[in-house]
Parts: sequence; structure tokens; C-alpha cells
Amino acid sequence: MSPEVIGVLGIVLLLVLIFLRVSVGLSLFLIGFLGVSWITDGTVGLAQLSMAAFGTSNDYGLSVIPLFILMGMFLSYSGLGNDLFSAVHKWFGKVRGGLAIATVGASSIFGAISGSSNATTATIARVSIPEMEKYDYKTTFSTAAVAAGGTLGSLIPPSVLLIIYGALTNVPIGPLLIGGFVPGIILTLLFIFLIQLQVKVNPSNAPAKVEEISFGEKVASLKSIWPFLLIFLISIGGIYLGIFTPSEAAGIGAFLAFIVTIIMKRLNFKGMLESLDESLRLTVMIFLIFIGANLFGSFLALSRIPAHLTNAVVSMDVSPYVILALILLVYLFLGMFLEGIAIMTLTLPIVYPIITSLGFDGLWFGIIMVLMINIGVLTPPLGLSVYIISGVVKDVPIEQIFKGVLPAIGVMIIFLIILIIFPSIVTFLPSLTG
Amino acid sequence: MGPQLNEEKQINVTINRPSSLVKFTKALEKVTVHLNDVLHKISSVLLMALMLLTTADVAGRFFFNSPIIGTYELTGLLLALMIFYSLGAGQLKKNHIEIDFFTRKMSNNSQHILYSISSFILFILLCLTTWQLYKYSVRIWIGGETSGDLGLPLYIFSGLTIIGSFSFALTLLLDSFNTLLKVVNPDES
Amino acid sequence: STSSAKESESITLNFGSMDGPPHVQNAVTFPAFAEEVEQLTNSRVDFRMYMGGALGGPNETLDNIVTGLMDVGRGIHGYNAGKYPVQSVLNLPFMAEGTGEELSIVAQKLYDTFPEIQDEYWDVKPLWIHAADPYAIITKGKAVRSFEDVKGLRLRTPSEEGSQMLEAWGATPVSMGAPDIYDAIQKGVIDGGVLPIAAIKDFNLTDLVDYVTIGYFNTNLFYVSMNENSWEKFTTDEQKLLEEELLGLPMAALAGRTFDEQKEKAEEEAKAAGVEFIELPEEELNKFKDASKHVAENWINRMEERGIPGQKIYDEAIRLIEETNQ
Ligand code: NA
Ligand code: NA
Repeated sequence: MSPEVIGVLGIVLLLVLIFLRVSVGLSLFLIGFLGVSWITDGTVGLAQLSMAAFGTSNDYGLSVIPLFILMGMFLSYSGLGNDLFSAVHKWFGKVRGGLAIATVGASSIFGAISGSSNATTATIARVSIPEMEKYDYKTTFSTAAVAAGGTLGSLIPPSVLLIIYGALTNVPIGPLLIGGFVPGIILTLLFIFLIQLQVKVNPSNAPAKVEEISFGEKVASLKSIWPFLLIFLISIGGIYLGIFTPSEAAGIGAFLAFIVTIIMKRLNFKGMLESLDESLRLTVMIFLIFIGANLFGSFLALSRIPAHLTNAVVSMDVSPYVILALILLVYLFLGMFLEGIAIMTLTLPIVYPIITSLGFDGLWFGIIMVLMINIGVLTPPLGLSVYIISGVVKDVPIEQIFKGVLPAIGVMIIFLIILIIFPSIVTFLPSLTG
Repeated sequence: MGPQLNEEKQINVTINRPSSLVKFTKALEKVTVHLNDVLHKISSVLLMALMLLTTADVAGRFFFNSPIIGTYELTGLLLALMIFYSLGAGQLKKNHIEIDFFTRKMSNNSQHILYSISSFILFILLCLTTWQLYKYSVRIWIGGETSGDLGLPLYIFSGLTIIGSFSFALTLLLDSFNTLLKVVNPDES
Repeated sequence: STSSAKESESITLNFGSMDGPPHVQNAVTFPAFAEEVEQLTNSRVDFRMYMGGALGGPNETLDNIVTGLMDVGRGIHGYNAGKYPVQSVLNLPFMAEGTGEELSIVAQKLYDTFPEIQDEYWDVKPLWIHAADPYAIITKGKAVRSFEDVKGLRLRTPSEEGSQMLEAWGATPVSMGAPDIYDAIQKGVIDGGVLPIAAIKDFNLTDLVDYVTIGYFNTNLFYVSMNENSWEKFTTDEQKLLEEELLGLPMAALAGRTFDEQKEKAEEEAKAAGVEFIELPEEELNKFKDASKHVAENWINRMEERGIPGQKIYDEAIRLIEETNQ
């Protein structure tokens, strides 16, 4: 049997396994092992088990992942997320729909110290949804604000998704992270604009206004925002100014988060242990996929499928934008059924060479990729973000939440098109560094 | 109705007199949970160490122009140990990403049987990995490979991952038996 | 009969490299080798190239060859620290007076001469061993015009011996993967590195770095090795033919020459872009040499302790460098 046929069989079997509830990482690992063994030799496949497992995890560059996760966890377990929300709320409370705006704003700021969308969504959902319920916000409206805001966490640096993209494509991680900043801010503003539009069109979304808050109180509330700004400025600012590498920034950021939460007496020993525990479990989940993807990647390379596909696509006589559109449609489809890291590990070995050979910028595509994944976490049947939120609002049918986020998805797609027309929104800031 | 009642009776009998399968699973669970708990705690220490090492390295570079020699290689090696020592804990708490909206449509029993079989296959895969990590460690031990600037023997680190890999394998075996029990006597769960 | 069965069966061998397709060893040297092999085997054996680390990164290359994922692989000795201590005699400070071609010939001849070196390749079939053109101190912002200038600089180096040399000079050795060099120099995490001049082109450093200080400081070593079972897929006659016509010295020389040509181009481009090339005066260079003398002495002692004739190998390396230079 030709390597190409074995490759196709492997991909099909992989999808079957994933849909049969076998963990994504171990499915990749198993199929990678079987595929390499089949194309080459059983002993080769066996030896690759240890190479993939030890070689992947013994990697200085990947230490950035647990450390950035840990930084967010310390702040999350310190309960500073609550303070952050109420502070932002004090500033926007007067505006109609102010709580929803505060939700998006707080998500954006929390996203600046948290590496993962999931952690951002979960943290903000717990504090903001009960508050919005108190003021009779429509559930479809309030949950949508949380869901949309949560996606900012993986666009605004630090971002585990961008780091993983960099690790899979060899695009330098520092510029990638910096590249997410401006799109993250613009998307924040677009979400806020959407909220105001929704309130104007349908005032019943956010019926009650919140009471006036004095200026003094507003200024006082800022004291709970400074830890976030300080840690963001030092760690991400340090990458931007070239004071340290992303791995070092993550270590310093985690250390700062640790010290700040200890000094503020917000993190006790139990909270520290829980932060470590949850960071580690999230980290191994990601690394298990990495380990599997490493072996599956060797199998895919041996099958020659990526090489053939790249040649076929590049020799096609259509505009690169048509191919880009097709690729994005595939991602929209995959986003319905698969989780983000899995999508990247499965597709990037094939898609990335195509994208760059079409003349698109690798760094820019990283941001596009994250946007596609962010859309995926909001679409049924598998919409991780919506699942997390439905865990907080128990009495609302999940279909309603999915329906509520549709306008936000619309905004994200419009933003995607803007980024395709004006790629410098992404590439400008990274090009300034150094 | 008749045969179904009979079946239930039989199941009740097995519950009253714990089968060797139940006993084995209970013992396996005890060992697996305990072992992975210890490793996971070591992992927590390693993560803190990783954080402090990076910070100290950068601080040393900045304030004294003397970074910590070997930070680069130590970070990679500590990370490897940390990952291997928490894989099992992650599996025990079931937070590896799984997609279940297709299997949800199946009957409970067929779901359990499928899950039990796939877990057992993955258990074998991880046993093979453990064995290969041992072989790899022997290879680099004979080859005299070291970490680089610090000259630490590399086989010690890959050797230590063997424990983590094996503990992870045990969690998969435990998954397999636990779900098998759900098929054999559904009332237990 | 097995031999005739082999003869009629055409085979494809996988070649793996951590470097991408444009790297000169992948673009020039290996294709030339593959073509020769095809001719010598009457088109029975051909190669499929997997580059850019598609079959595994720098750290995994050697094990991937040993265990057979790569039938042939190209790697850097330094990525498997401790594995090639004797061959590493050419990684010692100032064992680099010559061109890439000359140093590659020395590297290969050392292998051919000493069973102690051959033993280090016990688990593979080495095809050729080569060196790079001499490494230079390449920096951004801070020029190295004297021995004093190097003190306190943070420089990237790829080998243990290189680290020891930098420490001896009072500089700070920083280990990092080759792909991180650009970022690290740009961000000022390192001031530069002890690098081949060709690296300026390979890693797009032309517009980034300001100074190149030349001085035969050291070189780096590379192997192209074959899996032992893959080697047995050649018939005895083919093996003999390959050994006589191609393997060892001829390929080593070609690989070194390829680096030299790349170096010329990189140097031209860098000079055109305004990078200053600094030649150290003899007395300054001697300070560098004297400061790092003990690195070689330590190496010799370490070898002798292990029952390996370190002094003899070191002396022969020096002799070969002088001989090839003429
Ligand atoms: Na973030
Ligand atoms: Na989805």
C-alpha cells in the first residue's frame, strides 16, 4: 500500500477515534505510532514513542506555556477577578447596558494576564452573570457578552493558542504575541459597539440602569486594576521592549502574580496549591496533544500528503484569496466539532506551508487562526465557551445561549474580513519592535 | 419482563459477593490514585522551581551580569519531568479533551464497552512507551550523553520519566476496568 | 542469492535534516551526493528529502537515525553533548585555522586515523564528517576590537567547548536553539554569538548585526550518518563502490567547500549592508588564545584519564591543520 493511502486511512481512523470519545492527544499518539510503523517498520514506530514523549516535553521554548497559565491562575484564585469586574462596572455603570460593557472590558483586562480563553470566560462568568441577572438583563444578552468577551483572552497577549501556533509553525513567539494586541483591542471596542447597538435596537436586553457612582468612588476602584496592568506591562511590555524572551516573560509574570497576590493577602496556601494543580492539569492536557501531534506529524510527513496537497494548491490557477476563503470555510466547519488546539495540531502541518507559499504572512495567519478558533468555541454542537457558561447559568437551555452569541459571531466574521483586507493591523506593531 | 428480572437478580448476586474483578479494580484504584498523587505533588514543586529559576536567571543577568549557567537545559529537563509526573493526575480528573456528542447517542452499555476497550488499548500503548523510554535511557546512558553546559547525565532525567509514564499507563488501565465494571454491574456506579 | 535479490529491488531512502530546503547543505551538497549514488547504483537507490525538521528536530536527529526513522540524517555533534567527546577535539578553541573545506578534511582524516573516534559512531554508519568555515564573533551594537571588548558580552554558542572558551574570555555563554538567535539579538537578550559568517545569511541577520570580528576562534562539526540496517540494503559491491568513490573525504571536502561559497556570498552581502569586518591585531588575538589555552589542556587531561591518547590526537589535529593549510 502506498504511503499516501496509509496516510488517508490514518486520518480517517483518527477522526473516528476522536468522535468515539478517545482523548485527542492519545488518538494522535496511537495513530502516529501505527502509521509510522506501517510505512517504515515496527521497531521504528516503537522507538518513536519515546522520542515523541521525551523529546517534545524536554523543550525550553515550551516552558512558556505552563508559566503563562500559572500567572493567570494565581490572579484567578486570588479572587481579584471580582474586584476587576466591579471596578470596570463602576466606570461604565451609568451607560445603558453598562454591565455588559463592563463584562467585555473586564474580560479584555483579565485576558491581558491570562493565557487562555477558557480561564477568562470561567472567571468573568462567575462574577458578571449573577450581577446582570440582578438588573434583569436578558439571559441571551448577558451570556453572549461573557462568551464574546472570553474570546479576547486568547487574542490579547499572553495567549496559549498563539504560543501553540508558534510552536507548530516556527513563527517566533514574541512577535506573534505582540501581534495579537491591536486586534484584541479593536475587537473589544467592536464588541462594546455591538452591545450599545443591541441595547438601542431592543432596550429590553438591558432594562434597568445602575445608580450613579461618584468620581471619587471611580478613582478608588482603580486600585484593584493596577495588579493586572503592572503584571501585563512588565511581562508583555518586557517582550515588546526586548528586555526578555517570551519564556522569561512568562516566568517573571508568574513570579510577579505570585508576589502581588501574596502581598495583597489574596492568595493563601490552599489557593496557591489549587493554582498549581489546575495549571498543571491544563498544561499536561496541552502537552499530551503536543506529544501526539509530534508523532502524528512524522507519520503525516512520511505519507507525503502535505507535500502533495501543497503542490496541488500552489499550482492551482486561482487567486490566493479564493484558496484562503476555502481554507477559512473548512476551519469554520472544523470549529463546530473540534477543540481549538486539536484543530491547529491536525491542520497546520498541511495548511501552514500552503498559506506561506501563497504569499500570506505567517504571523498574520496566526491571528486569523485564533479568530477562527474563537468562532469555533461559540458554535454548536461543540462550543466550549458556551458549555463553560452554561455551567454557571444552570436554568437556561444551551440552545438559547448559542442563539444569543450569533451577533457576536457576525462581528467576528466582519473583523476577520477587515484583517484580510488590512493585514497591517496585525503586522504593524510587531514590526516596530527592536 | 421475565428474563430481564432474572438478569437483575444475577447482578445482585455479584454485588453481594464482590468478584475478583471488583477486588482487583479497588486495589488498582488505591495504588494508582496514591502514586499519581505523590507524582503530581512533585510536579507542583517543579513548576514553582521553574518559575523561580527563570526569575533568578533574568535577575542575575540584569543586576549582576551573571545569569545562571544551565538555565536553558535545566528548564527543558524540569519541564519534561513536570509533564510526565502530572499526566496521570490529569487523566484521573478527566480533563484531557474528549468529544462526546456522537457517543452520547449510543446506549450506555455500548458506550461503556467502547470506552473500556479503547482505554485498554491506550494502556498497552503507554506500556510500550514506558518500555521504549527505558530502552532510550539505556541508549543514551551507553552513549554517555549529557545535558550540555552542566554535564548532567541525560539518562537520569529520561529514566525518571519512566515512573511518570508507567503511572499514566495505570490510570488508563483503571479507566478500562472501572468502565468494564459499569457494564458488568451497572448499579455499582 | 540475497545479493541478486537486492540488486533487482529498487529502494527509496529517507533523508532527514533539521534545516530547511534553502540551507546550502540541503540545497547543494546532499543533492550532489544523491545523484552520485543514483548513478553508482544504476538508479536502484534514490533519496526522499524531509527537511525543516519534518521528521524530528535537532535534538532528535541522532536517535532518529539510530532507530531508523531517518535512513540518513544530517546533524550537529554538539546537540548530543557527551556523545562525541573525542571527535570534539576540533571544537576546541583556535582549532580552526583554515577554510571550511580544509577543516572538513581535517575532521574526516581524524576520524579515518583514530579508532577511538570511530568507536563514537558505533551505532550508525557515518557517511561523512565535516566542519564549518571558522566562526567569528558577530555582534550588534558592541564592536570587539580588542580582548577587553569581549568581556561581559552575552554570546550564543552551540557547543560545550565553545561555552568554556567564552567563559575563559570573561564573556557569558548563552545556550539557545538556532531559530531563536534572530529574536534574541534583536531584543538584546544576547549581544551576538560566536557564529559562522554564513549564519548572517542563513538567519537573516544582515540588517541586524553591526560587527564581525574575525579570528579563527573555533569551528563546528557536523555528521551525515546512515542507519546501520539501511546501509545493509546496499549490495556488497555497491558498498565498496560508494566507499571508494564518494564516502568520507570527497563528500567532506564538498560539504566544506559548499560552506565556503556560502560564506563568500554572506560576507559580500553583509559588507554591502554596512556590517564592519574587524581583523584583530596579532597581539590581541594572542590574548584570546592564551586566555582559553586551558580548555584544550582540560580536554587532553580528561581524555587521558579515560585511557584515550588525548595528547596524541590533539597533536595530530594540529599537524593536520598545518599540513592541509599549505
Ligand atoms: Na490573553
Ligand atoms: Na464549535
